[in-house]
Amino acid sequence: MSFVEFILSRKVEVLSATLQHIRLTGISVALAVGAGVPVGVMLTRFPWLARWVLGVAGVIQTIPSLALLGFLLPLPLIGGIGTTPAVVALFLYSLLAIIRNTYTGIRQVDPAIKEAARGMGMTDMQVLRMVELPLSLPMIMAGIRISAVVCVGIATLCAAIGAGGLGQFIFRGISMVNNAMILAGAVPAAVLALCLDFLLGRAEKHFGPPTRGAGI
Amino acid sequence: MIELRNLTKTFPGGVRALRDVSFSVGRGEFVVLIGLSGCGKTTALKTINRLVKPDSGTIAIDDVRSAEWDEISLRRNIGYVIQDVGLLPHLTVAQNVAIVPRLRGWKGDRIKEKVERMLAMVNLDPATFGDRYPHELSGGQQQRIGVARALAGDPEIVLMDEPFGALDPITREELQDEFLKLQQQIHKTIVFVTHDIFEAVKMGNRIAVMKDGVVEQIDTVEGIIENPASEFVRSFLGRHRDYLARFAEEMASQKAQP
Repeated sequence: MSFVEFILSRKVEVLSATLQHIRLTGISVALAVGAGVPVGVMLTRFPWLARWVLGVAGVIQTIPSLALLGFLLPLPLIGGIGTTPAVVALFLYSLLAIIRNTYTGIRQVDPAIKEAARGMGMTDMQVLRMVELPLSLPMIMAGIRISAVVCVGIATLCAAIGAGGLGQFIFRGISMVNNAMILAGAVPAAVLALCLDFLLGRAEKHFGPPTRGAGI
Repeated sequence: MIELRNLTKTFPGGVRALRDVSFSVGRGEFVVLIGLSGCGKTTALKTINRLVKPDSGTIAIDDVRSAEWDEISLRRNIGYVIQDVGLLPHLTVAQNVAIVPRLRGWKGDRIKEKVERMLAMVNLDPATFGDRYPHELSGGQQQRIGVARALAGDPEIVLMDEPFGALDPITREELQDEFLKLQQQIHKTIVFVTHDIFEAVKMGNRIAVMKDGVVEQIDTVEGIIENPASEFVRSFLGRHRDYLARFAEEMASQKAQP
């Protein structure tokens, strides 16, 4: 049975696994944005913290994904099997790129612009909201894109701890030596990653600052 | 009126930017701070809108000590123009000019009308330029916006930190002339930093010559040229003293008197 035939014969199953996959990735990345952007902003205010926080986030990144899922198994509340530990793991993997890009993005905003903004009487919050965040948005969005794409990949492994998603086909396919089944998980995951990257790129253009170089 | 008294400031790292700076600026007066780079002129300027906090000494504005002002509302009442312009690149020209009025909580119609008036005042057609982004403008046009933005909140005081320093000579002269003409109408209290003695003589009512964190001499333009108080001030005037004297005389009629 070819891969296309396989997908067509199990389209409901593939579709629900895809939706599960999107849900896992979506929740994790959304949580990582919610935590990572404020942390990144905080690091620009307390730069001495940056080395430590980015260091810890970097170390998490080096833990092999399967091992991290394994570490989470015995933990209460956030661990065990199912959706919760999967989201926790994906969240942790997403953090680094988002924190780092927020931090670097804001640090790269031209100091002259920030000083002009402060000189005009903006409060620290206003400088952040009206100057720093809009000007570092492309960088922050790039971080979110990286995280989202990485998450789609790692989320396939979460099937190993019973969180569902497209990884189910891959694991089952491997154990049954069924290539069509492996592809039924892998191909939609790859397409999903590409789509997410494309959509986030569009969003970035839509909400971002006007591109330079149009005029003089 | 602005009064700076015995200001000192040492930056982390040990650079003593201000050793003992005192001078005052009368209402409607145009005072130029001049000196070599690193002499503390920009630091002195920034103590006025409290972007720099002095280690000791006091600043008073209209006899109220600046430390008693709320820092944010103080800055909203002081125009600020810098060499790098500092326009927000993600906002249009009109939105940039509207920043301080918006921060001050003005209503939409009043802001719109003000922005149009400000752009016309710096000789930019609001209909043509209002919706453009800063990167679409030339350096001279950007600094015109910088001036319009600084004046949009109706400040009494305007601080200008080498505002025309990055422009080509022709544009610089154009903007200097326009600003002098403008000042004759608006009579703001202006503190202006430059390292160019010609600009200082051209623009100012009074000149304060700074060296190593100290004001070496503060006097009228004529006073500085005729009676330089030290060798340093004399060297600043250089070989052009006679020319500067004539230039000062020529410019005197074009300046607003405080």
